[in-house]
Amino acid sequence: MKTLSLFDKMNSQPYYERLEEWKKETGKKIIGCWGLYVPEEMIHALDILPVILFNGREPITLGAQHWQSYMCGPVRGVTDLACKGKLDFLDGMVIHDCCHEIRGSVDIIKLNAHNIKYIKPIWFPKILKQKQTKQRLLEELKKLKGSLEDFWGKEITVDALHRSIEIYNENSDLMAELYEMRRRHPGIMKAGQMQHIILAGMQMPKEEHNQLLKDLLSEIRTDSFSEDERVKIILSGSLCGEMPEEILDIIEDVGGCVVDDDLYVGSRYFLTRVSDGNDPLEALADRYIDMVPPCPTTQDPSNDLGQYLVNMVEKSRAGGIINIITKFCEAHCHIYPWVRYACRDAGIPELLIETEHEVTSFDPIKTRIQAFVELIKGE
Amino acid sequence: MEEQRKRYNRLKCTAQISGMMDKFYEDIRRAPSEGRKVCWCVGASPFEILAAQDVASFHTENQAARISAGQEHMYYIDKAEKEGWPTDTCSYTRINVGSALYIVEGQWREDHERYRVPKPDFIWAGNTCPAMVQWADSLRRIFDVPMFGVDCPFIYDDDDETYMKTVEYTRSQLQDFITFIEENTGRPYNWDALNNIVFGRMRRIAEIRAEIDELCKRKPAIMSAFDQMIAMGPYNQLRNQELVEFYEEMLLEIKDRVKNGIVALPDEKYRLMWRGNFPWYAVGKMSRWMAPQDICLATSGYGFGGVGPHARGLFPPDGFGTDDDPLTFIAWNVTTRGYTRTLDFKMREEVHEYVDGYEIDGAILHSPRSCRPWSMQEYDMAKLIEKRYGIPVAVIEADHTDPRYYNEASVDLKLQALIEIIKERKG
Repeated sequence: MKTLSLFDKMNSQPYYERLEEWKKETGKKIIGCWGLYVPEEMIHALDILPVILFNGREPITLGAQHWQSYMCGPVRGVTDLACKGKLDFLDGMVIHDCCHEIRGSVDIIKLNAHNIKYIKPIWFPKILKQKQTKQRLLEELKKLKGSLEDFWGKEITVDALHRSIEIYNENSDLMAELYEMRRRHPGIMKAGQMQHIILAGMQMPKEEHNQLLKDLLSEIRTDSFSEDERVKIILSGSLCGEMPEEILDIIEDVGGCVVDDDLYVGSRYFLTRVSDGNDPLEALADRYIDMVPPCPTTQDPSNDLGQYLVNMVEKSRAGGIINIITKFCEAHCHIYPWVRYACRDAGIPELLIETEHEVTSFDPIKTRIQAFVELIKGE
Repeated sequence: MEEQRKRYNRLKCTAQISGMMDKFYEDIRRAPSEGRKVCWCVGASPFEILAAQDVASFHTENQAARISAGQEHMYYIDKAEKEGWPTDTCSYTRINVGSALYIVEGQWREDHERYRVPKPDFIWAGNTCPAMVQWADSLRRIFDVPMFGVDCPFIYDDDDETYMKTVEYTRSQLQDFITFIEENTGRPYNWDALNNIVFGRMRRIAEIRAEIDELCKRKPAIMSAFDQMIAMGPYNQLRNQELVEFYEEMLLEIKDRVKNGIVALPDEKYRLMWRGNFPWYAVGKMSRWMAPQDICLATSGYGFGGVGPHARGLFPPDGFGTDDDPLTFIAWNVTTRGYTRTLDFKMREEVHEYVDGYEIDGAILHSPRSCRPWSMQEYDMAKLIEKRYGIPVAVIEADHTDPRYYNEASVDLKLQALIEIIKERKG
């Protein structure tokens, strides 16, 4: 498939290098989005490219001067790239403080990455279903809007915001279609390739990504896929970071296949569409408050992650769940036991893998995943 | 050998604290049989509000610290980890959740009676650290009881408008908490009692604290930070008259020390500050290491009351222009502390107060592995302190209540190196 190999190719280059080249070619501006829920549409409406920032795939050196080794890879890694000057191509950064480490990174990046001229942290309520939540969230969104407008001397009009929301919603719909296809025919692509597609979408204009997705969807001929005999697995987690592709390959090497996911670089990114009403800011606030995948960084007893994953397993007829905790992600640590209880109660096999930026060997992980897949096969 | 026997001259009144805390927890244990409701409080907590309605409430962090100081932490940590709480979860959480799991399973150890607390009727969460609401949510699920959380915004913009808006936002949530308490206790809220606690007891303690603070700046130090940190236990939870009496007695003893020239360490040579929470299981060891070398741990923001603008508890130095609304004071205290403030604020309002006010020779920054609010930014803070004040800093990596992360040899080495640098500089 032509388009699929295009995504693979994009993924082979460090993202900051690719974006720097893109910027030179197009002369356009780029804002880095750091933290789980930056409302990208608002940046897009200014005709600036919002890109999701990740830790690089290189050793963390300068970042280690600012963070203890027991802070998560994404926080240490993004700080590292910023301090090394590898994010100097950014025209600005918007940081959503979804956890305490990301909060802390605001000052550290401000102090040590002088070439990024605009750094705007935003706080969103963590308790989602309180009387005050929406009002407060709207105030925060208005503050961000005002700050962006002031810095770039340009108004974010209601029309422009509506248009951006529409483009992002179209992206959600196309991704959902692709995921539905994978649920029916997990063999349409490797899990690593699905990650390439989403990563690309997080770091290129959505209009172009939408076109590529349309091309890809028309290229995929599902009639050539017969019933998949592999063990169907669901992945959940890996917050703020991409999955090490080696792990995705291991799952497939030992006879499993990823049939659906609740990964950050996965369905978590696109599942919540914005219900575009009259007031786009209100719509963006509602998107956060009524997010579809329950988030470990927020609290909402009416939306339980364990139950959500059990439902996902049932919908895709998966054999088990592998929970991926980005090592040292405290938010995920607090919610994980409840996912484990939910799986146990529903009789769903579950495995926990913690991923680190620095991996010395994938062998122990392979052994565990292999045993897990065998266990499901045996049932 | 003479040197080895040197010890900190502890304030006599601090000997009562253990008994006070035992009594406090005994009172909590009695609450259900006396028909009083029980609230477990996670994070920054408005004990004034709960005490005024006669709700028996305690700080889950304190229960964990108490278990750790009694060296019994691993029994509870193991339980939580066995149930799935990963080792990177806050160790206070793991201890407290471990205890909650033992309670619901009816598996409490008889010899751990002093750590036992009754099942909660409801839960409070003060979300200054975003993990607090997750911790409280786990307790809600374990006990199947209602929970009330207050969301505390991080104050990125240090201007007056943002600051007052934040206080007002917290205040409006506290107002809802009052309704929640009324619903859960089945009677109207006792505003008179709240006014008495806030504007009577807590204001008096703020005055005492201000006096103690000034006296503590003397050289040599009147009391060590080890005494200050122990004095924090009652302050963090008790809101009764006994608390006021205790601090009155503490003030008298300190004044008496001034009069009679009694100090914490007679041969004090080096003065250090401590930032961060304490590795409770290692506090004794650390004080026994410092005293023989004439090192005085002179101050710590983790002592009773807080530091900088929060040193006087509920009462900000500049007031609010209004002094009759207890909820505004409580909102201010709950929501504007260092946990939700920028590095610039912490350097300006907290670090400066220690270094300048207490004439410190060196600083220890404790970086607890499982507590992000304290450990984040510490490397940058260390560099800023060294640069601005010219004093050496040791960042020690350990944990508040998980001793598996306390490497004694490494901590000793870092502290020894800190002292050597200070000696070199002071001559």
